[in-house]
Amino acid sequence: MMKGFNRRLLAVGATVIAALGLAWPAQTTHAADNGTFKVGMEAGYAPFNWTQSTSANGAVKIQGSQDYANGYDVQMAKKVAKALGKKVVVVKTDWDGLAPALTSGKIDAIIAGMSPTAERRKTIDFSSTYYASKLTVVVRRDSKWAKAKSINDFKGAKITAQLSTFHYQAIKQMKGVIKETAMNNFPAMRVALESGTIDGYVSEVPEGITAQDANPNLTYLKFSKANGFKTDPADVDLAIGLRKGDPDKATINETLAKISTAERNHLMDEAVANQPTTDKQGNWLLAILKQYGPMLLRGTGMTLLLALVGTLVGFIIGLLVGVIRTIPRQKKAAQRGLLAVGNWLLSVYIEVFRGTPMIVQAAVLYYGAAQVMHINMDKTLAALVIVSINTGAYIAEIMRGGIISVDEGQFEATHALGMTHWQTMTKVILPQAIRNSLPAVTNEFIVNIKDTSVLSVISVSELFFTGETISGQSFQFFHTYLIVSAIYLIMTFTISRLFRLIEKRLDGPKNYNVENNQMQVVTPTIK
Amino acid sequence: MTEPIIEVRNLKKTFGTHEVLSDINFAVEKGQVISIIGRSGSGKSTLLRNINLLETPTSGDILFHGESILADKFDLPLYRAHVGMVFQSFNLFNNLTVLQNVMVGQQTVLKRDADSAKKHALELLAQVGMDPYINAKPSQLSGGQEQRVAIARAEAMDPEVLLFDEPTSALDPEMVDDVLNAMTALAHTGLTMIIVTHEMAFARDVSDKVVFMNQGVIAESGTPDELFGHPQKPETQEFLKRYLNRV
Repeated sequence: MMKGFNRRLLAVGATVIAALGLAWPAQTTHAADNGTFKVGMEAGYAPFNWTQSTSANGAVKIQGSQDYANGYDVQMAKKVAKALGKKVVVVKTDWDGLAPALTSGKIDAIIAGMSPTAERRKTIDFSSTYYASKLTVVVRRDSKWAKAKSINDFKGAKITAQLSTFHYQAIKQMKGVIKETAMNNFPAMRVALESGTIDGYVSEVPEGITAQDANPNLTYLKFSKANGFKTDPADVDLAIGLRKGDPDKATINETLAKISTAERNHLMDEAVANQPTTDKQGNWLLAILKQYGPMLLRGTGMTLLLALVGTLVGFIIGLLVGVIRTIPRQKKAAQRGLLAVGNWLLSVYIEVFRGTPMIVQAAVLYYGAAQVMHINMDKTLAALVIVSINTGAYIAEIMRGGIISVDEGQFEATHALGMTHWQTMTKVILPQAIRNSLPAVTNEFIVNIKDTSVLSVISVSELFFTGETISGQSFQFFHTYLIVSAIYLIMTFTISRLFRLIEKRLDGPKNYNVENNQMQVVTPTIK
Repeated sequence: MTEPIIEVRNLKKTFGTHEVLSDINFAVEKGQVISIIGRSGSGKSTLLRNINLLETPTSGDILFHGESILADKFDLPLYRAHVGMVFQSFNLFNNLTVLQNVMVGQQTVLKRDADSAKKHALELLAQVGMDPYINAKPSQLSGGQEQRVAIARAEAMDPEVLLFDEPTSALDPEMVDDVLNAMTALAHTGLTMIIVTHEMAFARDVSDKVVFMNQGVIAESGTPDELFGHPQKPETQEFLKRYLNRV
């Protein structure tokens, strides 16, 4: 579907992860077979799949979440699972994480509005079609084009479609139309259509139904086979993604064959009717917050958890690495050798984790470990581990800088007192180094709040992924991302202020009291 | 003659190809106050820094109670606890208060409990007149105050020997006396001291023995009377002529 083309442009990490999927030949790695049928989807691509907060209309709980998934894909998944004698579990996964999740055995099938393209067939297998979409043209209900019976009835009409999709290519088939510049998303096209900038846009039937539902002034057109668009099945057919050699493929195909076109259309109509709609009347901000407030809150919580734990653990890792890397030359050869090996390993650690994108590290740890070593890690745990290790590599260097910046005389004075390296570090050097590095550590924290958004690739529903879900099903891209930006800004601003307070606290009072009776002085503790 | 506490034997130190110390021999006996004088760059500070191994000797040996401090099995931290050092630039711990500066070595190295460390620290700070400032941070003190705290910090370890590396060179003239007075008082307690200094009058009045260094060797040494009154070598005479005019 349209999805595959447009989104792939946006996702920078996609190619890398696709390569990951190809690099490991798909061995038959099965997701733990305990009577569950694990289905991967974005749960943010209505009417095929979306996220809702209740179990209404036969929704299925999303694994490791308070939310439920529903939509055409979910209903289809239930039918397939029933035939297999299993129970559906929905694993909410970012689009780019779907294929690796399947090949690594995190999920058993992809039912996510995915088309069986040749490119995808290299990595994974597909069932037969479970939904055949058709191209349509969305027009104003009161316009003369609303009565068009054929794609050739649009002489002189201004037509557009979504950028980088086969929809836009299909405009060529419409004789005599004026092809307008492609547009970025559907909400933009709907606005353009209503205002008369364009006379119609090419889309697919489910989107047409949605547009008509959302805006009564619009309608979508049905063409007979002869008068409609010619399309490649790889573009409009949707199939279930399976691991190569999946023994259940035959059963799944049999099940799909028994579901008639009429039943499929009925399921789609139901999905369109049930899909979450955002109240267009009144205040958009309140409408979004009312409908998706709890979801946004959970996303924010996950982002904060990842950033907080990641920065904290990363800080401790950074401190330890900093201490080890500044151990002075040892007298005994064996200790010198051990230290050299240790230092070398730490350099490797820092270079590797600073030198590769976090999105790749996450994919390798989560999907790679599952595929190659059969380690099935909890996704939140995997995310926490990756953020911590990644941050540790950066903070280790920040700390090294902080330690180097402490005056050499401070080291000499501790040595002259007979302190060991550990005592020197904990009592004198690190307190000063930490104070000096605090602005840089604050930076890391802020970077973590924002950059943990790449962890959606391993299905972690942090704030950005939540925003994607909401915009994907409400079609209010601008508004949703505006709210998401505001939340990010509030978090980062709060943290930078908080750290300024901590800095002030560490600097201590500007004044001191002159003591006249020392024996009453409280014994200070030396931290 | 008693057994020396510290004995330096054939000490040589080079930085790259530059020879800073060549064949230094001298001994320090218990209770002695030794002043090392000489031009800047003559190797005085380097010699002092070799004695507590802030610099590693290139060759030769340094004995503490007859035991080589360069041996693999030698307990360096313990030795350093016994041999204190006062630096030209004070080097007080910037993150700690005055009182904590004087306590931290006692607690971490000597494993004294907080109360006895504090009691000892307060006594020593009172001796150098710094007791009203125990809650101040080093950055809030003047140079002379910092150096007096640094002396108390070194004393707090109850060292057998105290090394002073040009303790007054970084101070404003009016603060020098406070520090010299504190050092004179210490010398009278019978503590063994090695002092690198440019304060000739102080060296003459306080020392048992004065060592004159020139170009990495000990050019001449003797009692203050011998060295200041009857210098034998022409370079000693020349050096003293320049300095004593100012005394």
